[in-house]
Amino acid sequence: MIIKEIINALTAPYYLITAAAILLLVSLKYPHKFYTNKVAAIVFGGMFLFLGLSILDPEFRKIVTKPDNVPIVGMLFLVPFFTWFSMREAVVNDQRSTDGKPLIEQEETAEKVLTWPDLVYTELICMVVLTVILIGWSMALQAPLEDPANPSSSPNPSKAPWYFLGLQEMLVYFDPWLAGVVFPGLIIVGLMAIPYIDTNPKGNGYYTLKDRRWEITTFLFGFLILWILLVILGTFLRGPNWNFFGPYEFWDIHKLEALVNVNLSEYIWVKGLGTGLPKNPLIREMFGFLIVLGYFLLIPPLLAKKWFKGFYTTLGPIRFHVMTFLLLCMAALPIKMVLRWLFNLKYIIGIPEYFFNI
Amino acid sequence: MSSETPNEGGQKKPPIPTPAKRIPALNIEKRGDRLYAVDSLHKWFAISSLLLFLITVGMVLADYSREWKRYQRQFVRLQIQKTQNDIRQVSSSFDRKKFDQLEAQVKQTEVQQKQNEAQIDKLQKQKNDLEAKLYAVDENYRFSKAVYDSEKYGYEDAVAHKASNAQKLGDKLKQTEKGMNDYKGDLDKTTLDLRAVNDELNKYFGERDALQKNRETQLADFSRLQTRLNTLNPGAIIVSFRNAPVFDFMNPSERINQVILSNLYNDQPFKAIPRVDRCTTCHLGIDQKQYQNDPQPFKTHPNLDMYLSSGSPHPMESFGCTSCHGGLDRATSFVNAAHMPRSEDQRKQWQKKYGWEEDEFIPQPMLPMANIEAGCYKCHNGSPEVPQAAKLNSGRDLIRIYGCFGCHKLPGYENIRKVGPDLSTVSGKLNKDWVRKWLANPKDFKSQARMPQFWWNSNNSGKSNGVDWDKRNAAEINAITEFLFANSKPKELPAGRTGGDPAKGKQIVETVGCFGCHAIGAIKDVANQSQIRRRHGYNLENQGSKVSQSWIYNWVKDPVQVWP
Repeated sequence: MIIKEIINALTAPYYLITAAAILLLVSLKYPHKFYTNKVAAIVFGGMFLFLGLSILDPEFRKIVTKPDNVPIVGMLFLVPFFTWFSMREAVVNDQRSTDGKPLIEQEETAEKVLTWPDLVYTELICMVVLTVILIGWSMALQAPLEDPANPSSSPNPSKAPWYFLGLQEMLVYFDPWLAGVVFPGLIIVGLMAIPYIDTNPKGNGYYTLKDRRWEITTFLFGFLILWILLVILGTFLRGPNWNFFGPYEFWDIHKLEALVNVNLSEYIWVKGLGTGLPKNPLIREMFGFLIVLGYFLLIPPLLAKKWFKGFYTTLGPIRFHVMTFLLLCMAALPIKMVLRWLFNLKYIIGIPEYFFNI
Repeated sequence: MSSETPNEGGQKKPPIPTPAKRIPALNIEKRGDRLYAVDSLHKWFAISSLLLFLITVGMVLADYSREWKRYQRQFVRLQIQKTQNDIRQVSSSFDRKKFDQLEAQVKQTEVQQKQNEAQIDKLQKQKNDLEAKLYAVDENYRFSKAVYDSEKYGYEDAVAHKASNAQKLGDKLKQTEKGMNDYKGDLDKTTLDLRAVNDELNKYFGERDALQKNRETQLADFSRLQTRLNTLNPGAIIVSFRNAPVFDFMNPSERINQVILSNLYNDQPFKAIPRVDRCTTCHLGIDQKQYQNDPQPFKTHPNLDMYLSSGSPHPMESFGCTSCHGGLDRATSFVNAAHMPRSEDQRKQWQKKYGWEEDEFIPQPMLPMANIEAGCYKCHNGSPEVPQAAKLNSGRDLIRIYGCFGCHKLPGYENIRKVGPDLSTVSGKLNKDWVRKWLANPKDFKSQARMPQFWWNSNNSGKSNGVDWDKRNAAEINAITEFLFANSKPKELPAGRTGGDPAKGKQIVETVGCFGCHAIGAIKDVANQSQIRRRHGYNLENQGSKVSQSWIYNWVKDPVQVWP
């Protein structure tokens, strides 16, 4: 069917990630247009309709109803819902504060904070209900066990647990030492550093977008696009050999993708200068080193001088440089993605002799 | 939820709050200024707790309802049924008359006893007194002997070490010995007295006891079966208690049976795991003769003399089940064990009945009945023939005759002569036209030809895939023929003599014993397998059109000269 073909083509990583990123940024730019009940009804209705119609397709059904993929289907709905919900509250609050009206939280907790029974009792009930759901779930869907582990024949696709699929997707663009070691480490360190970097006191105890636009946009981009979306991509759209498969496509183990990626050094030396590659890897990769060093050393002062002047003054130099370093690391992933999609760029610095590839 | 109010560092104080507008007005009179009414929260808490309780019970039940338990319950019912049948059988062959007679005699002796009641009572009382005395005396004797033994040790020790008090100890020992002997005399006397009283009593009871014993022997079969029945069915309460969750750690009646085969292994990557065959968890009657006519899974193994029984060459304790049959040794459910259907019908039936499906992860599923002899080959691969495995033997035979190993690598067949003849002298024997015809369809020439037809099969005749197969086949056959003849170096053979008498020839062929080895013409009796598979004595059908008379002359005269 032609619609299925179109959807298969549109869910390719470059379209999917680009479209999701643009959608997120645009929606945060014009939140009052996007985070309304009407838009939510259309979006979630559309999602349910998509799921309901697609489930008729055998290939789609096979992947979606796999017992270990079921939680990701839940996530597909829950994460957008809570994003939408908090953004809707933020939009309402922002409107109220410009109108000079009290905020939602102020109205609810004007005289006292409702702890018992409003918070504690409902939490208890939630706990019990969640336990019921988990037990029922574990009874209904058996653990998807496979054959005994065999180091000489690994399953294909060989997938990480679902919560690590974002990391596995990063491996498409970066070497294991970066995607598997440095970036996960930076994610944890960066999240821990947020309270020390973020000195903006606003948004404490109430929803708002207006007062924290920069922080929320950065976080949502990192979380939704660079984590959740990659998990979903890895779960539903990556098949045997980590090849991309559209949602209605058969997971053919023999599918081939042309691997024609080229290093930056090859672009410059072979295609640009028309010579062969120099023998010495340091000379060969000097442009890559220059670019990476420039990226981390030149951009922060530039930002401090020009676009992030305000941040530099409020945060001070140490906080500012830590923040920009983390930010640049985070931006490295989408930058590498775009370079890969547009120029088939394999590595900016590629020294496989020493397993040093960026 | 934070209690801080927004706009902490803000400029203006928030105005006095109006009633929360966004909180729905539902149940406003009940919940007052709270978000939820406590009463309704109680209700929800009660409902969710009840659900939690129910789902926990459901979880335990789901965990405990296992397929094999159902089969074990069925088997107990079957055993009870069989025992009841046995009881019925015993009672039908029971000699009622003799039993009644015995019963009457027992009654009679009881009447006699009544008459001597006073005497018996007196003797009984005497016996009781003596028994009490015997107990006391015996104890005195044993205690004094214990004291004596320990004193004896003390004395001997003292003598051995030449202690000064040895003499004193010796005297004491003698005294103790005397006391002990007194007790011994007492004990012997009491024993004798008791025996006398017993003898006296036996005069009255002896006959009755003998009769009663006789009667019990008659009932032995009954009581044995009854005990068996009681063990099998001790009542629903006891059975369900023994198998109840948690309590079943003690001594459940439903349990997994297993044979641990420490010498036979499952090959897992980098690890050989001993086989643990749990098949007998459901196949409960497999090694007992009396279940021959019962349905699966309880049916007896069809060949107990060969398998399972302790006297057979393959006893269950050392071979188990999966080492021959295949399947997952530790599985305790029909599907997991990788049972394989013997026919398409059975496959459909199983899919319906058990939700059967082929498990792709089980390395060695069970061998279907048609291929069951393949299991023998695992061990019996050194000998040319496996006894009692006709199908396996004939399969191996076919491989050898038809030369599968010519193209397919097969362990054990590496050094066997190829099945086709030497073609290096082909031009001396055959002509090109015949070779073309033979290649096109060997069976046209000889109905039992072993060489397969390679051209003009269903996928290479006519025109398909843009190929004119007829043309191509002819070209290929011609090319092969030319190649064979171009490379053939025929032996120089003397010209054969001609002019024989066909009638005389027929007579000679029929009388000198050519038919001992050779056949002429198609073998009609296809059921006669040995005729089709004969390996010596070429079928001489259509020979005249194949080779020249001269070649036949030379061959019959001296085959070694033609083919050294």
